[in-house]
Amino acid sequence: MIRNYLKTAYRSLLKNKGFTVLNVLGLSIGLATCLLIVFYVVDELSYDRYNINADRIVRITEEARLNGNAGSYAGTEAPLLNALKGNFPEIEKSTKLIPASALFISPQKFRFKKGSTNLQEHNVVFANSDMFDVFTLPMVDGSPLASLTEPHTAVITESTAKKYFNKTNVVGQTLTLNDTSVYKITGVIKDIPAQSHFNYDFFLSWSSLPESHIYGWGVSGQHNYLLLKPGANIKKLEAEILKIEIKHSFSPAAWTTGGNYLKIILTPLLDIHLRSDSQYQLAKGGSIQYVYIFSVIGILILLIACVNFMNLSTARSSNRAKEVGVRKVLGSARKFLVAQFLTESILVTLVSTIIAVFLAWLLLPLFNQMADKHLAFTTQSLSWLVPSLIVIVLVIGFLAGSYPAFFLSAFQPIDVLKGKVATGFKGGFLRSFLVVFQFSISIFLIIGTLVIYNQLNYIHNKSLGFNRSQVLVIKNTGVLGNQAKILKQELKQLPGVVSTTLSSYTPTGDDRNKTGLFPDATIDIKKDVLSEFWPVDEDYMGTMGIKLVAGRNFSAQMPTDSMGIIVNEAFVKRFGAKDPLNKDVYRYSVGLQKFHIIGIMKDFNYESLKEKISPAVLTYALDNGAISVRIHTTDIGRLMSQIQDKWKAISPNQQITYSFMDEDFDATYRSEQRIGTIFISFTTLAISIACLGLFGLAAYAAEQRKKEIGIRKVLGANISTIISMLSMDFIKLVFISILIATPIAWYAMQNWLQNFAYRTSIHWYIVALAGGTAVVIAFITISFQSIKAALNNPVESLRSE
Amino acid sequence: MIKITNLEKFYRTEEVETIALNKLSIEIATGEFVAIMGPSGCGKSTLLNILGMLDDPDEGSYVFNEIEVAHFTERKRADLRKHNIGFVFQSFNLIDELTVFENVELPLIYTGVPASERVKRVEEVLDKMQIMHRRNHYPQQLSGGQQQRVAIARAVVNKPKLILADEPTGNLDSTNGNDVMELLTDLNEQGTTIIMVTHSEHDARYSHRIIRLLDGQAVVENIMV
Repeated sequence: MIRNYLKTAYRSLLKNKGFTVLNVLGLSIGLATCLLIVFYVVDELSYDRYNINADRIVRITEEARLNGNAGSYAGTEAPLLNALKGNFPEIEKSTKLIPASALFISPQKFRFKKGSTNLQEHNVVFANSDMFDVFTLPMVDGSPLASLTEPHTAVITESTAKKYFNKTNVVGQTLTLNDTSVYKITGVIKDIPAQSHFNYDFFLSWSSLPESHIYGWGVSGQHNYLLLKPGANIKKLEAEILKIEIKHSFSPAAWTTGGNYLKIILTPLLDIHLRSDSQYQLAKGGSIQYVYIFSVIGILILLIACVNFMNLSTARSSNRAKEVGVRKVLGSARKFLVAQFLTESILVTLVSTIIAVFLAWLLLPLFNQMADKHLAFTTQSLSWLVPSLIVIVLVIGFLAGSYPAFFLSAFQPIDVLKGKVATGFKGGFLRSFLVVFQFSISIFLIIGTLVIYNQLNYIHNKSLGFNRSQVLVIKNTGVLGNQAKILKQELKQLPGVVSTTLSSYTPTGDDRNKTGLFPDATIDIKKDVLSEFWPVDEDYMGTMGIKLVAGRNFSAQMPTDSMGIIVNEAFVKRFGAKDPLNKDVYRYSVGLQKFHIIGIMKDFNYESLKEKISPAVLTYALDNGAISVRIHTTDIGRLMSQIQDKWKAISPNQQITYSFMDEDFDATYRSEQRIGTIFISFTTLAISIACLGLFGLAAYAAEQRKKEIGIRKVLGANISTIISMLSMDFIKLVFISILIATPIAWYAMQNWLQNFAYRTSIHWYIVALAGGTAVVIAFITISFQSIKAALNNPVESLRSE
Repeated sequence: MIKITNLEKFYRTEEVETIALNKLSIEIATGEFVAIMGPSGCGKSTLLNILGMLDDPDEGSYVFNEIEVAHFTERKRADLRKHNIGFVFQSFNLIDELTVFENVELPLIYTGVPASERVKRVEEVLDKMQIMHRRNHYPQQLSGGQQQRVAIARAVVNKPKLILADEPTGNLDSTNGNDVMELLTDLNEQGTTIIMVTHSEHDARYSHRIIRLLDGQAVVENIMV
């Protein structure tokens, strides 16, 4: 019996080749897309799970609001862990990581010697051997117990060991840092998985830090982690830690007045990557929002594909009413017919699924490139993939096959054979509903894509308060030491160079330095204005194109300028003084410092446009970390080689590292660009699948109405009348979809735009464009079939009687 | 009204070429009622389709109202057709989704008659065909005879000069069949030219002239007295 089912199924599919191909293709593309999204989502959700105790590890996070500055900070104070030690039975172990940014050293650069050159490294952190008690970082050489206990010892990853020594058993070897200190390697660990909220190559022992870089209470920046005992009461522990924090804070009373607050949050390790938006995290995290968005898109695309499949299957199966009649007359019981139709449907689903897996495998490298991921088919992924695919095959196969299986098989054979059973296309309310459903999703995705692109475009063209075009940033002048100043002067002499400035703090760079500034020497925390505090030279504003609103720029001729500062408008607003020019400002850092406001500059965006501009202050001090060069030339290639020559003359053994400021700016929005690209790809796929379905349905409708078209033509209808008649039925549905999708998309994208402090609005023409696109695409798809039907000789369709 | 000369039509498949019409020449005058008879496959329907400008001849000439139409474009043929020719089919060919009224109205819509005028003309012709009481019914709700009345109403609503009927009584019992033939005779008496393909000698007797076809050629012509 089963052989007969398979044979009939095979022949029936072969007879309707076109339909079968559309059906299989649509479902395969949909399933493949969905598979890629599943891989992406699973990857995002797997962050930090490599830690055996992942569910018991927490990071101490601080949330504070002080004088209008509210924020969540991933770093807390250095003495905190010691204060906790031994006092709380629910804490099993603790450990800390101190990234360079928490050391308040400038420039924050690590250069390790390899042969005669220095390599600049970014993934460097200070840690203790207790790190191995909390995190799961297996060693390939050395022992965790004997690692990072002594000053000037280091643990490195396997690939770093290979990079510097070409082998992994390098315990006992040394690394020279910044030409000055020598670190002995005490351990080599396996590379940290990509799915980790930190990814360091060098772990330097905490005890190597000089006294002056070990800060006390009041200075956050150390990343403190706790390994909790099972069942620990987190809320209680947070309250206890808060008590300790407040006790040691500068002014405990300040936290309870004027809307100020301080909170301690024990952020679960597994939430850090996706759910924590704290500042100063060890790495840029993902976003649970995008995980949700992509999950929804994945489900929607799968739904579109399934709907297609069901729509085409049921449309086609109504042609088979006659076969049902014949089979019943010949003695087939209903259950055999049910089994036959289900077999057929499940068979097609199975084939589509196999093609989908193959397609996903082919597309994976492209998708990885788009999403900046390293996803792969592994035996581990197959272990959950295969069972879920089997479920999908059965569910989709059953749903798509259920209409013919249960509905058609119930017909009385005599009715079917007499042609009394309506097998027409019309009255297919379900089918119309499904088409509306598909197109609503497609239109939703089109609107989403357009809004994202519009916002990216807005960001790209927004005036930022500084001029990022034609500025070259040489990023590693720190390696030149004091000679950086000479390079700056020499570059300035080159033809094509407008100006040069020396500072690692650029509006598009990563180096940031927040500090508290006070209006008087009492250092009353209630009056703190938290500001960016950037050491720059007198050429900085000119080179960056930052405008002065009042006062003056720094000048080499004014010796008192070393205590002068230039503040931005956001600072002025927060500072409160009516005329802040020439006022004094105090800072408490290695003793009390007094500064004098000599100028006010226009606000410029130095953070992502997701943030409002916050107070920023320029101070006249030397920072030789980077040189920014404003150029004006038509021959960039020549100028670049001249710049490199100048560099080589000063430092023949070092490689110059540079980039253009507008590229750096664009890099800030790479994740949004990426989302945009992924969005547009998925949208295209969703629409293509929907169109495949529409194409099939239009062909089916034309087939069903062949006779009607013939009659109408005989009665005088011309081709355009026939085309518009056939198309209108579907276009109507697309219009209904526009009405349904628009408000939902508007609401969803409005929500997304809230992420940006500086954002565009959703213009009416975006909706019009999305709707228009959908209508045009649908019309083209349908007219292909309608034109074919309309051109048919009516004699053909009327002959068969 | 109609003059065809040396008309040829072939049907080709990959292997064989079948001659449907073989150098056929016929003349039909305005106001005539002509029956075309012959065994299955003799070319009756092909001839009717060409006369109705639904199909092209391969060779020969077809002059309709003194205009050579043999190689007209589809658009021109359609235009000429909708203003001059009405069709009646064996299987009625009514559109199931439209009511009686809407079915009859269709040709008027395609010739661009204004809505108010359409209502008047449709009601007039439904009245004449004694099918007015069924105006809001759908074709499936009617008997075969009633359906053919609707089809004839539809064929004449545009006041065509020529009606082409392809076995108009083929799907009807004898009573309904006779009614339909009476209707066609009335129309002819009012001046409409009628060409009818039929297998029925009985029906053919309603006509003025019978053209008998065999293998695509006119073999006999009987003049009815």
